Amino acid sequence: MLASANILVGGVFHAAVLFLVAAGLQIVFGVQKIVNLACGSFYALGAYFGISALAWAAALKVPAIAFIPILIGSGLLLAIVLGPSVERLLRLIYDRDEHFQILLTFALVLIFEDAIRLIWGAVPLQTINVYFAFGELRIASDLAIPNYNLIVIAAAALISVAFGWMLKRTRFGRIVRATAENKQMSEALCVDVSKVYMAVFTLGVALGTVGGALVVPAGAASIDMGVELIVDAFAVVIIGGLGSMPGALIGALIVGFVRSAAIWLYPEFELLAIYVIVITVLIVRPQGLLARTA
Amino acid sequence: MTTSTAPIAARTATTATSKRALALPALLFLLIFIFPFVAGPHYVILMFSAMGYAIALLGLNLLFGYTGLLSLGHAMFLAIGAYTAGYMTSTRITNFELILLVAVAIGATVAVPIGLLCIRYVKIYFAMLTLAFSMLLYSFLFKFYHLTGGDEGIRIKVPSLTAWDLSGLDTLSVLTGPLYYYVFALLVLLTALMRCLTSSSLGLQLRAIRENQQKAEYLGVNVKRYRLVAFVIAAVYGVLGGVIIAIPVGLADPSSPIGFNRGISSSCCCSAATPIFWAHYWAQSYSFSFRISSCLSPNIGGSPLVSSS
Repeated sequence: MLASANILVGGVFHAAVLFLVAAGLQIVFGVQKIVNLACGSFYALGAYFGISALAWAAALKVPAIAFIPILIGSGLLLAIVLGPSVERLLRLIYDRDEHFQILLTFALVLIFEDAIRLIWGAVPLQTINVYFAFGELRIASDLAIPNYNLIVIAAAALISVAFGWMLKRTRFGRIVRATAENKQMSEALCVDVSKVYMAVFTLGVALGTVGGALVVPAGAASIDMGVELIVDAFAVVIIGGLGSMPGALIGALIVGFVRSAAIWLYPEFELLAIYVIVITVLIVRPQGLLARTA
Repeated sequence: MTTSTAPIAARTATTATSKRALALPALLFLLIFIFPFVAGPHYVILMFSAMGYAIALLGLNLLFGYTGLLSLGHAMFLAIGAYTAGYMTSTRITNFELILLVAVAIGATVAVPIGLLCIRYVKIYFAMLTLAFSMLLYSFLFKFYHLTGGDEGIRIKVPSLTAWDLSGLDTLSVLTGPLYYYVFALLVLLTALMRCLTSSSLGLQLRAIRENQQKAEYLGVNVKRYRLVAFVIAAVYGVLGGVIIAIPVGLADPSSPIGFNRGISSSCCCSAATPIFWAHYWAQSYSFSFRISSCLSPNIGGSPLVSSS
C-alpha cells in the first residue's frame, strides 16, 4: 500500500515534468521539423537559473508562497532571452540534412553544459529549503505526500491545459497548426513563417526551462542532468510517437511510472529500465505507440 | 584527338591529386614523429589522447562519413576500451598488445548485437538508439559498484611491451618514449588500413548505401550486412582509441561514455563540413587542435580527461 502510493505519486510527478519538456520537443519538431536535442540543456539551464532566482528571492525575504511564481517566472525570462537567439542560429540549418540538425543541436548541448560548468561549477547544487517549506499532506499514519510534489503536478497540468487551449482555440494556435501542416500554403496566406518559427521555438524552450525550474527544489541540479533528460524526453517521444501530443502524455506517464517503480523496488535498475523500454519500443514499434500517420 | 587525350589528362590529374592527398597526412605524421623532440612531456602526454581520438574518429568517419549513420553513442566503445585496460592492468596483465587484442575482442563482441539492432534504423532513430545504448552503459558503470568501481572507476597502470624492456624506466619516460612511438605506429597502421578499406569495394558499397539505400539494394549491395560491418569496424577503432586515451590518464571512470562524446562530436561537427575524402585527415588534425585548445583552457575546452589528469 505504502509502496504503491509512493510509486503512484512519484510517477505522476516525474511524468508531469517530463511531459512539459517532451511537449516542447514535440511542438518544435511538429512545426519546424527540427529534432532539438538541446531541449535537455534548456531544462538544465532552467534548473540552475531557478536555483539562482530562489537564492536571490530568499535574500530579499520573499514569503514561501511566492516561490512557485518566481520559479516559473525565472524559466520564462530565461526562455525569452535564449529562445530567439538559439532559433536564429538554427535558422541556418532548416533546409539542411537531418544529420546537421542533430549535430548542431548536440553541439549546443555540449556548449551549454560547459557554460553551466563555467557559471555554476561542476558540483551538484541544491536549492534553499523550498521543498519542505510547503509542508506535506498526511494521508495515513505512515503515508505522507510532500505538498510541493502536488503543487508541481498541478502547475504542470495547468500549463499543459493552457498550452493545449492555446493551440486549439486561439488565432495564434491555428496559425501554428497551419504552419505545421503546410508551410508553403500558410506563407501564401500571408503568415510570417519566420516569426511563427521564432515564437514556437521560444515556446518550446520555455516549456523546457519551466520544467527544469519546477523540478529542481525536489532534487539537485547537476551537470549531466541535461544529457540524461534528453534520453528521457526522447524515450517519451519515441514511446508516444514523434509529433504526437497525446503520445507524449502516454509516454511521459509510462516513463514516469517505470522510473518511480524502479526507484522503490530495485534502485540499481532505475536508469537501466528506461533505456530498456526505449530500446524495446524502437525495436518492436519504431514509429511509436500513437504515431501520426505522415 | 580530344577523345584520346582526355582520359590521359584525367589520369594525370588523379595521380596529382592522390599525391597531394598523401602529402598532407605524411606531413602530419612527420610532425607527430618529431613532436617529442621539441615539446615538453606534458604536451607529449596530451598527444596520447589526440592520437586516441584520431583512431576513434577514423572509425566514426567510416560509419558517418561513408555509410551515413550518425552515431551519438560511439563514445561507449571508447569507454569499453578504457575499462578493459583498467581491468587487465589491475589483474596484473600489463602486456599492451594483449590488452589491445582483448579490448578488440570485447568491443567486437559487444558491437555485433548492438549493431544488429541499431542498423535497422537511420538518421535520428539510429542516433537516439546509439545514445540510449551508451547511456545504458553509463548507468551500468555508475550503479554496479562492485563490478565497475562505481563513480570512482578503475585505475589503469602503465602497460608493458613485448618487444621493449621497460623495467628500468619510470612512468614518464615510458609514456613519452617507447609507448608514444608504439601508439604512433599503431595510428599510422590503422590509418593505412582504413585507407585500404575505404578505397576497396567495401568503401564503394558503403558510399552507395549512404547516397541511395534503395538503389544500392537494387544493385545487389547487401545493405544490412555492410552497415553492420561498418558499425563493427567503427567500434573496433573506437575501442582501440579508448585504450590509448585512457592509459596516460590512469583511470577509467563512468563519465567516459558521455565524456568522450565531447571530443568525438566536436571533431565530428567539424569533419562533417568537409568532403569525406579529406575527412579522416581532418579528423586527426582537428582532434590535435582540440587537444591544444582544451589544454589552454581546460574548463571551456571541456575535456574531462585533461582536467582530471
